[in-house]
Amino acid sequence: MTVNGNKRKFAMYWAASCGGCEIAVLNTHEKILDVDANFEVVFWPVAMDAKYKDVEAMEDGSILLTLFNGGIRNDENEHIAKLLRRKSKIIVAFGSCASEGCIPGLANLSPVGEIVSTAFHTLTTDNPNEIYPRSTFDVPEGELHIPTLSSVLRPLDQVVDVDYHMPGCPPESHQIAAVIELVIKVIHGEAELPPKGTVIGAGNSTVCDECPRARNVKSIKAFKRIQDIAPVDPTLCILEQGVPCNGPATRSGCNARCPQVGAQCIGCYGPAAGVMDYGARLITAFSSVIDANEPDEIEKILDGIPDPTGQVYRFNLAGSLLKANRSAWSKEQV
Amino acid sequence: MTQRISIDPITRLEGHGKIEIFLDDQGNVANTYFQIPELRGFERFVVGRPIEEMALITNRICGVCPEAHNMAASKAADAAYKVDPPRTGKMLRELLYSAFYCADHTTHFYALGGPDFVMGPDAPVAERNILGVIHKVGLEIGSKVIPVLRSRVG
Amino acid sequence: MPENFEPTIIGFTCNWCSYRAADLAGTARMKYAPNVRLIRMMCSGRLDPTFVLRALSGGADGVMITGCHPGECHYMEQNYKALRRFLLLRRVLKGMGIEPERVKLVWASAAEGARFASETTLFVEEIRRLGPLNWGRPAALENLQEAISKSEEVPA
Repeated sequence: MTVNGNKRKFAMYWAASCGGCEIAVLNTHEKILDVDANFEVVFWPVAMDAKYKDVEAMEDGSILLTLFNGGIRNDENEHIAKLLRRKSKIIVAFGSCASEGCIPGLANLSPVGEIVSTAFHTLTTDNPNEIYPRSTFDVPEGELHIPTLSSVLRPLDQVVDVDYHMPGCPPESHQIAAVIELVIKVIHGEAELPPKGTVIGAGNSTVCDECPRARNVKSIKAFKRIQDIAPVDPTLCILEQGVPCNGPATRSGCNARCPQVGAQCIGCYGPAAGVMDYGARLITAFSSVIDANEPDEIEKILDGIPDPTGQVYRFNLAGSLLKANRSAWSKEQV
Repeated sequence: MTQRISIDPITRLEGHGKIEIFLDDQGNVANTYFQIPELRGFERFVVGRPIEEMALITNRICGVCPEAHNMAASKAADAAYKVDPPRTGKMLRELLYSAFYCADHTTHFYALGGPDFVMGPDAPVAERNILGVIHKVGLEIGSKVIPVLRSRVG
Repeated sequence: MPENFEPTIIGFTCNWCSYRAADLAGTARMKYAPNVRLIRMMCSGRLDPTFVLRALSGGADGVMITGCHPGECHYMEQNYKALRRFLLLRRVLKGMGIEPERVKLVWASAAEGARFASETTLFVEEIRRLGPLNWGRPAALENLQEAISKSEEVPA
C-alpha cells in the first residue's frame, strides 16, 4: 500500500473539544513513535503548526487516516469537517464528542441565545457595555470574522459520512494503541480493516461485564447521591447501593475504571452495542430495579435522582433520538 | 494598501484561536486582533446539574488540565456544603495536583511550546513539533521523557 | 397554532387487554377520534422507551400506551415495568421540553371498549390543545444577535 515510497498521511483535528483526546493519543507513550515511523503527520493543531490553508491545498483523498474529535458547534467546525472528509480516505469519529456530542452536547438543553448571554454575564464577568460576540465585526483596517454558532451541537456523523466510531471521553490510551497497531498492520498488508461503521477501540458488551464488583438481584427502595452513602462499599455493585450507575447501558472497553475506584459509571463510553437510544436504555435499566408498584411509591423513589435528563443523557444528548431540548430550536426553524 | 496576515488556527495549545495582523504601508504592524472562534456554553449547561457532578463536567473544559478544573469544582463543593476536608483528604489532593503539575509542565515543554525553542522558530512545520524534537535529541532521551507522562495516567 | 390541526398519535397497545378493548370499540361501532395509529405489542411490558422517542422525534404529537389493569397482566407483573418506565420517561421528557401530558398511560381491560374510546378521544383533544410537536431539525442560526436579545438571563 505504499504510495511512491512515501509515508501515509495522518491528521488529527479538534472541533468543539477539550483536547483530552489529543492528550490520550500522546498518552500512548512509545506508540507515538510507531505513528511517526509509519505516518507523515500533516495536520494536528495541538502538536504541529500546520494551518487550515495547508489542508485546503492538499489533494482530495490524500490523507489516509484522520482522527476527528470534538462536536460540530459552529460553521467553522462544519467547514473543517467537510474539508477533512474530502481530503481523507478514512475518517474516524474519535472520542465521545464526535461520536455522540459528549458533555458539550448538554448545551442542547438551552437555546443558544441563552448560552451566549449567560457566558457573557456570569457572576465573575463585568460586561457593562453588553458586549457579545458577532460573526462579522468592522475595525478600521477591515472586516473581522468569527464562526457562526449553530442552534444545536451535532456529532460528526450528522454532518459528514463517518467510517468508524471510537467512543470514550477520552478513549482509553491502551485502546488507542491497539487501534494504531491495527492500522499499521493494515498498511503492511497483515490485517484487514473492519467493516465500515464499526465501533473500534471498545468492547462489545457493557461496563457491568468488566466491573469486578459483586452483583445480586437488585431491589432499589431509594436512589441516593454518592455523597449520601459514603463510604462506598468497595465490593458491592454501586447501583445496588442506590447510586444510579450508568454501567448497564454503557459500552465496555474502559475496564470499568470508575467503579473500580468507587465512583459510579457516568457513561462516557457511549451506548453499548445494539442500543438505539442510550437514555431509553438507562430508563429501562433503572426502572427494572425499582422495587415498587404503586405510582406514588415509584415517584418518591424517582425523586432520588435530582437531574433525570442529565443522568440518562449526560454524554449522549446530541446523539440521542431527540437530540436537543425543544427550546434549542429557534421558532424560525420549527 | 493594508496587508493582512492571518494565523489560523493558532497551534500547540488547548483551544481555538486566530490572529489577524494588519500591516501599514511601511510594512509595520498597524494593528493585531486576537479572536476566539469557539464557545461551548459550560457556563449555562452546568446550571441544573447536581453539585457532585461539577468535578466530572468541568474537567471536560480542558483535557490538558482537567485536574485543575476538577480541583476548583471540588473546592467549590466544599464551600457549598461548608465543609473542611480531613488532612488526609487534602494531602491526597495535593499529591494529585503535584503529579498533574509535573506532567502538565512536561507536556507543555515537549509537546506544546517547547518545540519552537528546541527546533528554532524558523524550522519547517514538519520538524517544529514533538516528533521533530525526538528526532533531534534522540530516541534515548525521548524514551526517558515519555514515562514522565505515565505519572498522570490512572 | 395552525387552524385545523389534526394530532398524530401513536398508540402502543398490549395484545391481551387493551388491543381487545380497541377491537371491542370497533366492533361495537363506538365513535372515537381516528387520530391514533395503533401498534400492538404482546404486553405493555414490551414498551421500550425508545419506541416513544422514535414516535415523538419522527412526527408524532403524542403517544398513548395502554395495558392491562395492575394485577391483571397476562404475564403477571410486566405492566408494572411499563408503569415505572413511563414515570421515569416522563421526567426525562420534561427535561427535554416535552410536556408530560403528551405521553399517556391507560389501563383498559378487554371488556372496556367504551373506556378505550373515551380515553383516546380525551387524549386527542388534550394534544390538540397542546398543539403540534413538530420535532425540529438542527440548522445554522441565522440571527444570533436576535436570539441573544430574546433570551432570558440565567444566573451563573
